[in-house]
Amino acid sequence: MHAIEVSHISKKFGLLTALDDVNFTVSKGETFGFLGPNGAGKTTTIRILTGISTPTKGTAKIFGKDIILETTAARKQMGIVHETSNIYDDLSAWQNLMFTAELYTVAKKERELRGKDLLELFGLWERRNDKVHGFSKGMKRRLTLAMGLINNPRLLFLDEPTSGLDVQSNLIIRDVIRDLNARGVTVFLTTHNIEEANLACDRVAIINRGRIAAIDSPERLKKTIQSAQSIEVAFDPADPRRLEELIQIPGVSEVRKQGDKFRLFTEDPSEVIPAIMEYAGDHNSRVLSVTTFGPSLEDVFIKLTGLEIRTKGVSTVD
Amino acid sequence: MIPGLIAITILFSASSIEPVSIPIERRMKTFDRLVSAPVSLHAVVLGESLSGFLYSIGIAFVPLVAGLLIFGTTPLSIVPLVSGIFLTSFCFATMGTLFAAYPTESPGDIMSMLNMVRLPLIFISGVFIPLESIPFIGQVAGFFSPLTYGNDLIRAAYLGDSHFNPLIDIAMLCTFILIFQLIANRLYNKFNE
Repeated sequence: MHAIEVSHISKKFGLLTALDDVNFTVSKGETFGFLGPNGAGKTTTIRILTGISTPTKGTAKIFGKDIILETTAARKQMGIVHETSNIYDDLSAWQNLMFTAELYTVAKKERELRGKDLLELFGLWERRNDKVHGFSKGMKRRLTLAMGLINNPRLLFLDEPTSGLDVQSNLIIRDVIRDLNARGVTVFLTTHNIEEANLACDRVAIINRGRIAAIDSPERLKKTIQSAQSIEVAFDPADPRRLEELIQIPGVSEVRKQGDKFRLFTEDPSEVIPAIMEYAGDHNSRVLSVTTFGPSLEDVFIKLTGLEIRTKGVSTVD
Repeated sequence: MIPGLIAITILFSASSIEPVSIPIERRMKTFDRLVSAPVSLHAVVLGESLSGFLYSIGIAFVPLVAGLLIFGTTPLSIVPLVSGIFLTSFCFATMGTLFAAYPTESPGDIMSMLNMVRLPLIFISGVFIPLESIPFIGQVAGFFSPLTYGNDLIRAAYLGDSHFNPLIDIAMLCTFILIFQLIANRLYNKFNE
Protein backbone atom coordinates (compact mmCIF):
# COMPACT_ATOMS: atom_id res chain seq x y z
CA MET A 1 0.00 0.00 0.00
CA HIS A 2 1.33 3.42 -0.97
CA ALA A 3 1.06 6.60 1.07
CA ILE A 4 -0.39 8.35 -1.97
CA GLU A 5 -1.77 6.68 -5.07
CA VAL A 6 -2.96 8.96 -7.84
CA SER A 7 -4.60 7.19 -10.74
CA HIS A 8 -5.58 8.87 -14.03
CA ILE A 9 -6.70 12.11 -12.42
CA SER A 10 -8.05 14.86 -14.63
CA LYS A 11 -9.61 18.11 -13.56
CA LYS A 12 -11.47 20.50 -15.81
CA PHE A 13 -12.76 23.97 -15.00
CA GLY A 14 -15.16 24.63 -17.87
CA LEU A 15 -13.04 24.45 -21.01
CA LEU A 16 -9.75 24.69 -19.12
CA THR A 17 -7.99 21.41 -18.36
CA ALA A 18 -6.04 21.99 -15.16
CA LEU A 19 -4.90 18.36 -14.80
CA ASP A 20 -4.70 15.86 -17.61
CA ASP A 21 -4.43 12.16 -16.77
CA VAL A 22 -2.02 12.54 -13.87
CA ASN A 23 -0.60 9.33 -12.38
CA PHE A 24 1.95 8.85 -9.63
CA THR A 25 2.52 7.05 -6.37
CA VAL A 26 4.37 8.09 -3.23
CA SER A 27 5.79 5.34 -1.04
CA LYS A 28 5.53 5.29 2.74
CA GLY A 29 8.32 7.28 4.38
CA GLU A 30 9.32 8.96 1.14
CA THR A 31 9.96 12.69 0.77
CA PHE A 32 8.36 13.54 -2.54
CA GLY A 33 8.89 16.88 -4.24
CA PHE A 34 6.23 18.33 -6.51
CA LEU A 35 7.64 21.03 -8.77
CA GLY A 36 6.13 23.09 -11.52
CA PRO A 37 5.82 26.64 -12.76
CA ASN A 38 2.90 28.80 -11.65
CA GLY A 39 -0.37 27.56 -13.13
CA ALA A 40 1.03 24.09 -13.88
CA GLY A 41 -1.49 22.30 -11.67
CA LYS A 42 0.34 21.96 -8.34
CA THR A 43 -2.34 23.63 -6.22
CA THR A 44 -5.13 21.74 -8.01
CA THR A 45 -3.33 18.46 -7.29
CA ILE A 46 -2.93 19.32 -3.60
CA ARG A 47 -6.57 20.39 -3.35
CA ILE A 48 -7.63 17.05 -4.79
CA LEU A 49 -5.27 15.05 -2.57
CA THR A 50 -6.55 16.83 0.53
CA GLY A 51 -10.19 16.33 -0.46
CA ILE A 52 -11.03 20.00 -0.94
CA SER A 53 -11.65 19.59 -4.64
CA THR A 54 -13.11 16.66 -6.58
CA PRO A 55 -11.40 15.35 -9.72
CA THR A 56 -13.37 15.30 -12.96
CA LYS A 57 -11.93 11.81 -13.61
CA GLY A 58 -9.71 9.36 -11.77
CA THR A 59 -9.08 8.44 -8.16
CA ALA A 60 -6.68 9.38 -5.38
CA LYS A 61 -5.98 7.24 -2.34
CA ILE A 62 -4.25 8.15 0.90
CA PHE A 63 -2.93 5.04 2.65
CA GLY A 64 -5.54 3.06 0.72
CA LYS A 65 -8.44 5.38 1.65
CA ASP A 66 -10.22 6.93 -1.30
CA ILE A 67 -10.12 10.69 -0.76
CA ILE A 68 -13.58 11.15 -2.30
CA LEU A 69 -15.38 8.22 -0.71
CA GLU A 70 -13.54 8.12 2.64
CA THR A 71 -12.58 11.77 2.97
CA THR A 72 -12.59 12.02 6.77
CA ALA A 73 -10.64 8.78 7.28
CA ALA A 74 -8.06 9.85 4.69
CA ARG A 75 -7.71 13.34 6.16
CA LYS A 76 -7.16 12.01 9.67
CA GLN A 77 -3.87 10.54 8.49
CA MET A 78 -2.53 13.75 7.04
CA GLY A 79 -1.23 17.07 8.23
CA ILE A 80 -1.47 20.05 5.92
CA VAL A 81 0.78 23.09 5.93
CA HIS A 82 -0.77 25.52 3.49
CA GLU A 83 1.25 27.99 1.45
CA THR A 84 -0.10 30.89 3.50
CA SER A 85 0.35 30.84 7.27
CA ASN A 86 -3.36 30.37 7.88
CA ILE A 87 -3.58 30.90 11.60
CA TYR A 88 -6.03 32.84 13.72
CA ASP A 89 -4.36 36.16 14.52
CA ASP A 90 -6.64 36.91 17.46
CA LEU A 91 -5.84 33.63 19.20
CA SER A 92 -2.64 32.78 21.05
CA ALA A 93 -0.16 30.24 19.68
CA TRP A 94 -1.44 27.72 22.24
CA GLN A 95 -5.11 28.33 21.36
CA ASN A 96 -4.34 27.93 17.65
CA LEU A 97 -2.65 24.61 18.31
CA MET A 98 -5.41 23.32 20.57
CA PHE A 99 -8.12 24.37 18.11
CA THR A 100 -6.41 22.47 15.30
CA ALA A 101 -5.98 19.44 17.57
CA GLU A 102 -9.71 19.52 18.32
CA LEU A 103 -10.49 19.64 14.60
CA TYR A 104 -8.48 16.43 14.29
CA THR A 105 -10.15 14.97 17.43
CA VAL A 106 -6.87 14.56 19.28
CA ALA A 107 -7.58 13.60 22.92
CA LYS A 108 -7.14 16.40 25.48
CA LYS A 109 -4.17 14.93 27.34
CA GLU A 110 -2.39 13.95 24.14
CA ARG A 111 -2.92 17.32 22.46
CA GLU A 112 -1.60 19.19 25.49
CA LEU A 113 1.54 17.04 25.67
CA ARG A 114 2.10 17.21 21.95
CA GLY A 115 1.35 20.94 21.84
CA LYS A 116 4.05 21.61 24.44
CA ASP A 117 6.58 19.43 22.58
CA LEU A 118 5.87 21.13 19.27
CA LEU A 119 6.03 24.68 20.62
CA GLU A 120 9.36 23.84 22.27
CA LEU A 121 10.63 22.24 19.08
CA PHE A 122 9.75 25.32 17.04
CA GLY A 123 11.08 27.77 19.64
CA LEU A 124 7.66 29.21 20.46
CA TRP A 125 7.03 27.86 23.97
CA GLU A 126 7.94 31.15 25.66
CA ARG A 127 5.44 32.98 23.43
CA ARG A 128 2.65 30.39 23.76
CA ASN A 129 0.20 32.78 25.41
CA ASP A 130 0.86 35.73 23.09
CA LYS A 131 -1.63 36.56 20.42
CA VAL A 132 -0.34 35.58 17.02
CA HIS A 133 -0.83 38.99 15.37
CA GLY A 134 2.38 40.16 17.04
CA PHE A 135 4.43 37.28 15.61
CA SER A 136 7.02 37.67 12.82
CA LYS A 137 6.51 35.92 9.49
CA GLY A 138 8.97 33.19 10.48
CA MET A 139 7.25 32.58 13.81
CA LYS A 140 3.86 32.35 12.10
CA ARG A 141 5.31 29.86 9.61
CA ARG A 142 6.75 27.75 12.42
CA LEU A 143 3.42 27.79 14.22
CA THR A 144 1.66 26.75 10.99
CA LEU A 145 4.02 23.81 10.72
CA ALA A 146 3.42 22.91 14.38
CA MET A 147 -0.34 22.97 13.67
CA GLY A 148 0.22 20.63 10.72
CA LEU A 149 1.95 18.16 13.03
CA ILE A 150 -0.38 18.31 16.05
CA ASN A 151 -2.29 15.18 14.97
CA ASN A 152 0.95 13.20 14.54
CA PRO A 153 0.26 12.63 10.81
CA ARG A 154 1.63 9.76 8.75
CA LEU A 155 1.62 12.03 5.71
CA LEU A 156 2.50 15.72 5.72
CA PHE A 157 1.64 18.08 2.86
CA LEU A 158 4.04 21.00 2.82
CA ASP A 159 3.19 23.80 0.44
CA GLU A 160 6.13 26.20 0.07
CA PRO A 161 7.25 25.70 3.67
CA THR A 162 10.30 27.98 3.62
CA SER A 163 9.28 30.62 1.11
CA GLY A 164 10.50 34.08 2.13
CA LEU A 165 11.66 33.06 5.62
CA ASP A 166 14.58 34.19 7.76
CA VAL A 167 17.60 31.91 8.13
CA GLN A 168 16.67 30.68 11.63
CA SER A 169 13.14 29.65 10.62
CA ASN A 170 14.48 28.05 7.45
CA LEU A 171 16.97 25.95 9.38
CA ILE A 172 14.41 24.87 11.99
CA ILE A 173 11.91 23.84 9.33
CA ARG A 174 14.51 21.96 7.27
CA ASP A 175 15.70 20.12 10.37
CA VAL A 176 12.13 19.15 11.21
CA ILE A 177 11.54 17.83 7.67
CA ARG A 178 14.70 15.72 7.94
CA ASP A 179 13.63 14.46 11.35
CA LEU A 180 10.13 13.59 10.12
CA ASN A 181 11.60 11.70 7.23
CA ALA A 182 13.88 9.78 9.58
CA ARG A 183 10.83 8.83 11.68
CA GLY A 184 9.09 7.41 8.62
CA VAL A 185 6.62 10.23 7.99
CA THR A 186 5.81 10.65 4.31
CA VAL A 187 6.35 14.22 3.13
CA PHE A 188 4.72 15.70 0.03
CA LEU A 189 6.65 18.89 -0.63
CA THR A 190 5.62 21.59 -3.06
CA THR A 191 8.25 24.24 -3.54
CA HIS A 192 9.61 26.84 -5.90
CA ASN A 193 13.00 26.39 -4.29
CA ILE A 194 14.46 23.73 -6.55
CA GLU A 195 17.64 23.41 -4.51
CA GLU A 196 15.49 22.67 -1.45
CA ALA A 197 13.77 19.86 -3.37
CA ASN A 198 17.14 18.61 -4.58
CA LEU A 199 18.47 18.38 -1.03
CA ALA A 200 15.34 17.10 0.73
CA CYS A 201 13.54 14.81 -1.70
CA ASP A 202 13.95 11.13 -2.49
CA ARG A 203 12.03 11.68 -5.72
CA VAL A 204 10.56 14.66 -7.49
CA ALA A 205 7.75 15.03 -9.98
CA ILE A 206 7.80 17.92 -12.41
CA ILE A 207 4.36 18.98 -13.57
CA ASN A 208 3.82 21.26 -16.52
CA ARG A 209 0.55 22.39 -18.09
CA GLY A 210 -1.41 19.81 -16.13
CA ARG A 211 0.72 16.82 -17.11
CA ILE A 212 3.54 15.07 -15.30
CA ALA A 213 6.66 15.83 -17.33
CA ALA A 214 9.01 13.62 -15.29
CA ILE A 215 9.22 11.63 -12.06
CA ASP A 216 12.48 10.30 -10.71
CA SER A 217 15.20 10.85 -8.15
CA PRO A 218 16.95 14.23 -8.48
CA GLU A 219 20.24 12.58 -9.49
CA ARG A 220 18.65 10.44 -12.21
CA LEU A 221 16.81 13.44 -13.58
CA LYS A 222 20.04 15.40 -13.76
CA LYS A 223 21.67 12.62 -15.78
CA THR A 224 19.05 13.05 -18.48
CA ILE A 225 20.49 16.39 -19.55
CA GLN A 226 24.21 16.15 -20.05
CA SER A 227 24.20 19.31 -22.20
CA ALA A 228 23.64 21.32 -19.03
CA GLN A 229 27.14 20.62 -17.68
CA SER A 230 29.12 23.79 -17.17
CA ILE A 231 32.51 25.24 -16.28
CA GLU A 232 32.83 28.33 -14.13
CA VAL A 233 36.04 30.22 -14.78
CA ALA A 234 37.53 33.42 -13.35
CA PHE A 235 40.25 35.35 -15.24
CA ASP A 236 42.73 37.96 -14.14
CA PRO A 237 42.21 40.60 -15.34
CA ALA A 238 38.41 40.30 -15.21
CA ASP A 239 37.25 41.74 -18.51
CA PRO A 240 33.50 41.58 -19.24
CA ARG A 241 34.21 41.75 -22.99
CA ARG A 242 35.47 38.15 -22.93
CA LEU A 243 31.87 36.95 -23.35
CA GLU A 244 31.96 37.17 -27.15
CA GLU A 245 35.37 35.52 -27.32
CA LEU A 246 34.55 32.63 -25.02
CA ILE A 247 31.49 31.60 -27.03
CA GLN A 248 33.87 30.96 -29.95
CA ILE A 249 35.60 28.10 -28.06
CA PRO A 250 34.68 24.78 -29.76
CA GLY A 251 32.18 22.72 -27.76
CA VAL A 252 30.75 25.70 -25.84
CA SER A 253 27.02 26.11 -26.40
CA GLU A 254 26.34 29.10 -24.14
CA VAL A 255 28.26 31.57 -21.98
CA ARG A 256 26.80 33.53 -19.07
CA LYS A 257 28.58 36.24 -17.09
CA GLN A 258 28.08 35.67 -13.36
CA GLY A 259 29.65 38.46 -11.33
CA ASP A 260 33.41 38.42 -12.05
CA LYS A 261 33.20 34.89 -13.43
CA PHE A 262 31.97 33.26 -16.63
CA ARG A 263 29.83 30.13 -16.89
CA LEU A 264 30.45 28.10 -20.04
CA PHE A 265 27.89 25.40 -20.87
CA THR A 266 29.13 22.32 -22.67
CA GLU A 267 28.47 18.61 -23.21
CA ASP A 268 32.16 17.78 -22.71
CA PRO A 269 34.00 19.77 -20.03
CA SER A 270 37.20 17.72 -20.52
CA GLU A 271 37.48 19.04 -24.08
CA VAL A 272 36.73 22.66 -23.16
CA ILE A 273 39.04 23.08 -20.13
CA PRO A 274 42.28 22.82 -22.19
CA ALA A 275 40.79 25.25 -24.69
CA ILE A 276 40.12 27.73 -21.86
CA MET A 277 43.73 27.47 -20.71
CA GLU A 278 44.90 28.00 -24.27
CA TYR A 279 42.62 31.03 -24.58
CA ALA A 280 44.06 32.49 -21.33
CA GLY A 281 47.61 32.01 -22.60
CA ASP A 282 46.81 33.64 -25.95
CA HIS A 283 45.26 36.65 -24.19
CA ASN A 284 47.98 37.08 -21.53
CA SER A 285 45.47 36.33 -18.78
CA ARG A 286 45.75 34.22 -15.69
CA VAL A 287 43.06 31.65 -14.79
CA LEU A 288 42.21 32.30 -11.14
CA SER A 289 39.80 29.41 -10.72
CA VAL A 290 38.05 26.70 -12.71
CA THR A 291 35.08 24.80 -11.32
CA THR A 292 33.03 22.22 -13.19
CA PHE A 293 29.33 21.74 -12.51
CA GLY A 294 27.03 18.88 -13.45
CA PRO A 295 23.49 19.68 -14.50
CA SER A 296 21.36 20.99 -11.64
CA LEU A 297 17.77 20.08 -10.88
CA GLU A 298 16.96 23.63 -11.91
CA ASP A 299 18.42 22.89 -15.36
CA VAL A 300 16.19 19.82 -15.61
CA PHE A 301 13.20 21.89 -14.50
CA ILE A 302 13.92 24.60 -17.08
CA LYS A 303 14.35 22.05 -19.84
CA LEU A 304 11.20 20.07 -19.03
CA THR A 305 8.95 23.07 -18.49
CA GLY A 306 10.25 25.07 -21.44
CA LEU A 307 10.88 28.07 -19.21
CA GLU A 308 14.22 28.77 -20.93
CA ILE A 309 12.58 30.51 -23.85
CA ARG A 310 10.18 32.50 -21.70
CA THR A 311 12.87 33.60 -19.22
CA LYS A 312 15.91 33.93 -21.46
CA GLY A 313 18.65 35.73 -19.60
CA VAL A 314 17.15 34.99 -16.19
CA SER A 315 19.07 32.35 -14.29
CA THR A 316 16.69 31.75 -11.41
CA VAL A 317 13.30 30.14 -11.59
CA ASP A 318 10.23 31.25 -9.71
CA MET B 1 -43.38 47.67 18.86
CA ILE B 2 -41.13 45.39 20.92
CA PRO B 3 -41.94 42.14 19.00
CA GLY B 4 -41.15 43.85 15.69
CA LEU B 5 -37.98 45.33 17.15
CA ILE B 6 -36.83 41.92 18.36
CA ALA B 7 -37.61 40.34 14.96
CA ILE B 8 -35.68 43.03 13.04
CA THR B 9 -32.77 42.85 15.47
CA ILE B 10 -32.56 39.10 14.92
CA LEU B 11 -32.85 39.48 11.14
CA PHE B 12 -29.93 41.88 10.92
CA SER B 13 -27.69 40.39 13.60
CA ALA B 14 -28.03 36.70 12.72
CA SER B 15 -27.63 37.18 8.99
CA SER B 16 -24.64 39.53 9.28
CA ILE B 17 -22.07 37.33 11.01
CA GLU B 18 -21.16 34.84 8.28
CA PRO B 19 -21.22 37.33 5.38
CA VAL B 20 -18.48 39.16 7.30
CA SER B 21 -16.53 36.32 8.88
CA ILE B 22 -16.41 33.84 5.97
CA PRO B 23 -14.95 36.24 3.37
CA ILE B 24 -12.37 37.32 5.96
CA GLU B 25 -11.60 33.67 6.68
CA ARG B 26 -11.18 33.16 2.94
CA ARG B 27 -8.80 36.12 2.78
CA MET B 28 -6.79 34.85 5.76
CA LYS B 29 -6.94 31.30 4.27
CA THR B 30 -8.21 29.95 7.60
CA PHE B 31 -11.30 28.74 5.74
CA ASP B 32 -9.02 26.34 3.84
CA ARG B 33 -7.93 24.98 7.21
CA LEU B 34 -11.55 24.24 8.11
CA VAL B 35 -12.53 22.65 4.81
CA SER B 36 -9.41 20.46 4.72
CA ALA B 37 -9.87 19.18 8.30
CA PRO B 38 -11.33 15.71 8.91
CA VAL B 39 -14.78 17.20 9.36
CA SER B 40 -17.54 17.05 6.75
CA LEU B 41 -18.27 20.22 4.82
CA HIS B 42 -21.85 20.04 6.08
CA ALA B 43 -20.59 20.17 9.67
CA VAL B 44 -18.46 23.22 8.81
CA VAL B 45 -21.49 24.94 7.24
CA LEU B 46 -23.65 24.07 10.25
CA GLY B 47 -20.95 25.32 12.62
CA GLU B 48 -20.74 28.62 10.75
CA SER B 49 -24.53 29.02 11.11
CA LEU B 50 -24.30 28.26 14.83
CA SER B 51 -21.95 31.19 15.43
CA GLY B 52 -24.46 33.61 13.85
CA PHE B 53 -27.23 31.96 15.84
CA LEU B 54 -25.47 32.34 19.21
CA TYR B 55 -24.47 35.93 18.48
CA SER B 56 -28.02 36.80 17.51
CA ILE B 57 -29.50 35.24 20.64
CA GLY B 58 -27.32 37.54 22.73
CA ILE B 59 -28.24 40.61 20.69
CA ALA B 60 -31.99 39.76 20.82
CA PHE B 61 -31.87 40.19 24.57
CA VAL B 62 -31.12 43.91 24.17
CA PRO B 63 -34.59 44.95 22.85
CA LEU B 64 -36.21 42.28 25.03
CA VAL B 65 -34.64 43.64 28.24
CA ALA B 66 -35.08 47.26 27.10
CA GLY B 67 -38.78 46.57 26.53
CA LEU B 68 -39.01 45.04 29.96
CA LEU B 69 -37.15 47.76 31.84
CA ILE B 70 -38.03 50.93 29.91
CA PHE B 71 -41.51 50.23 28.52
CA GLY B 72 -42.64 47.56 30.96
CA THR B 73 -43.50 45.25 28.06
CA THR B 74 -43.65 41.73 29.40
CA PRO B 75 -44.21 38.62 27.29
CA LEU B 76 -47.41 36.73 28.03
CA SER B 77 -46.01 33.36 27.09
CA ILE B 78 -42.46 32.08 27.31
CA VAL B 79 -42.66 29.08 24.95
CA PRO B 80 -43.50 31.02 21.75
CA LEU B 81 -40.99 33.71 22.78
CA VAL B 82 -38.10 31.29 23.24
CA SER B 83 -38.99 29.23 20.17
CA GLY B 84 -39.52 32.44 18.17
CA ILE B 85 -36.15 33.91 19.12
CA PHE B 86 -34.26 30.63 18.72
CA LEU B 87 -35.79 29.52 15.42
CA THR B 88 -35.74 32.98 13.83
CA SER B 89 -32.11 33.44 14.87
CA PHE B 90 -31.08 30.10 13.45
CA CYS B 91 -33.09 30.65 10.29
CA PHE B 92 -31.42 34.00 9.52
CA ALA B 93 -28.02 32.69 10.55
CA THR B 94 -28.37 29.93 7.93
CA MET B 95 -29.52 32.55 5.41
CA GLY B 96 -26.34 34.52 6.14
CA THR B 97 -24.24 31.38 5.72
CA LEU B 98 -26.00 30.66 2.44
CA PHE B 99 -25.19 34.11 1.03
CA ALA B 100 -21.61 33.83 2.33
CA ALA B 101 -21.10 30.81 0.06
CA TYR B 102 -20.54 33.30 -2.77
CA PRO B 103 -16.79 32.93 -3.39
CA THR B 104 -15.46 36.36 -2.52
CA GLU B 105 -12.93 37.69 -0.04
CA SER B 106 -14.82 40.96 0.38
CA PRO B 107 -17.66 41.14 2.95
CA GLY B 108 -19.11 44.13 1.08
CA ASP B 109 -19.90 41.98 -1.97
CA ILE B 110 -22.10 39.69 0.09
CA MET B 111 -23.63 42.43 2.23
CA SER B 112 -24.86 44.31 -0.82
CA MET B 113 -26.54 41.16 -2.18
CA LEU B 114 -27.97 40.35 1.23
CA ASN B 115 -29.44 43.81 1.74
CA MET B 116 -31.35 43.45 -1.51
CA VAL B 117 -33.21 40.61 0.19
CA ARG B 118 -33.27 41.75 3.83
CA LEU B 119 -34.67 45.25 3.37
CA PRO B 120 -37.76 44.24 1.34
CA LEU B 121 -38.45 41.48 3.90
CA ILE B 122 -39.15 44.11 6.57
CA PHE B 123 -42.00 45.59 4.53
CA ILE B 124 -43.73 42.36 3.51
CA SER B 125 -43.48 40.45 6.78
CA GLY B 126 -45.95 42.32 8.98
CA VAL B 127 -43.27 43.99 11.09
CA PHE B 128 -44.36 47.61 10.56
CA ILE B 129 -47.67 47.07 8.81
CA PRO B 130 -49.93 44.16 9.88
CA LEU B 131 -50.17 41.47 7.24
CA GLU B 132 -53.91 42.06 6.90
CA SER B 133 -53.32 45.69 5.92
CA ILE B 134 -50.78 45.20 3.14
CA PRO B 135 -51.89 44.71 -0.50
CA PHE B 136 -52.69 41.19 -1.66
CA ILE B 137 -49.47 40.85 -3.68
CA GLY B 138 -47.51 41.85 -0.59
CA GLN B 139 -49.36 39.28 1.49
CA VAL B 140 -48.52 36.55 -1.03
CA ALA B 141 -44.86 37.61 -1.01
CA GLY B 142 -44.98 37.64 2.80
CA PHE B 143 -45.80 33.93 2.83
CA PHE B 144 -42.33 33.31 1.37
CA SER B 145 -40.58 35.38 4.02
CA PRO B 146 -39.22 33.63 7.13
CA LEU B 147 -39.47 36.96 8.93
CA THR B 148 -43.27 36.74 8.63
CA TYR B 149 -43.35 33.57 10.74
CA GLY B 150 -40.63 34.69 13.18
CA ASN B 151 -42.35 38.01 13.78
CA ASP B 152 -45.74 36.29 14.10
CA LEU B 153 -44.40 33.87 16.70
CA ILE B 154 -42.83 36.63 18.80
CA ARG B 155 -46.03 38.68 18.50
CA ALA B 156 -47.95 35.66 19.79
CA ALA B 157 -45.68 35.62 22.83
CA TYR B 158 -46.28 39.30 23.61
CA LEU B 159 -49.87 39.88 22.45
CA GLY B 160 -51.36 36.42 22.70
CA ASP B 161 -52.61 36.99 19.18
CA SER B 162 -51.05 35.87 15.89
CA HIS B 163 -51.84 35.80 12.19
CA PHE B 164 -50.99 32.11 11.87
CA ASN B 165 -51.23 29.26 14.33
CA PRO B 166 -47.90 29.28 16.27
CA LEU B 167 -47.36 25.65 15.25
CA ILE B 168 -47.51 26.71 11.60
CA ASP B 169 -45.00 29.46 12.35
CA ILE B 170 -42.65 26.90 13.92
CA ALA B 171 -43.12 24.44 11.05
CA MET B 172 -42.47 27.16 8.45
CA LEU B 173 -39.34 28.40 10.22
CA CYS B 174 -38.01 24.82 10.43
CA THR B 175 -38.74 24.37 6.71
CA PHE B 176 -36.84 27.56 5.84
CA ILE B 177 -33.88 26.45 8.00
CA LEU B 178 -33.79 23.11 6.21
CA ILE B 179 -34.04 24.69 2.76
CA PHE B 180 -31.34 27.31 3.50
CA GLN B 181 -29.03 24.71 4.98
CA LEU B 182 -29.43 22.32 2.04
CA ILE B 183 -28.85 25.06 -0.52
CA ALA B 184 -25.85 26.32 1.49
CA ASN B 185 -24.35 22.81 1.52
CA ARG B 186 -24.69 22.54 -2.24
CA LEU B 187 -23.24 25.99 -2.87
CA TYR B 188 -20.22 25.45 -0.61
CA ASN B 189 -19.59 22.15 -2.39
CA LYS B 190 -19.83 23.85 -5.76
CA PHE B 191 -17.72 26.90 -4.95
CA ASN B 192 -15.05 24.89 -3.15
CA GLU B 193 -13.97 23.53 -6.50
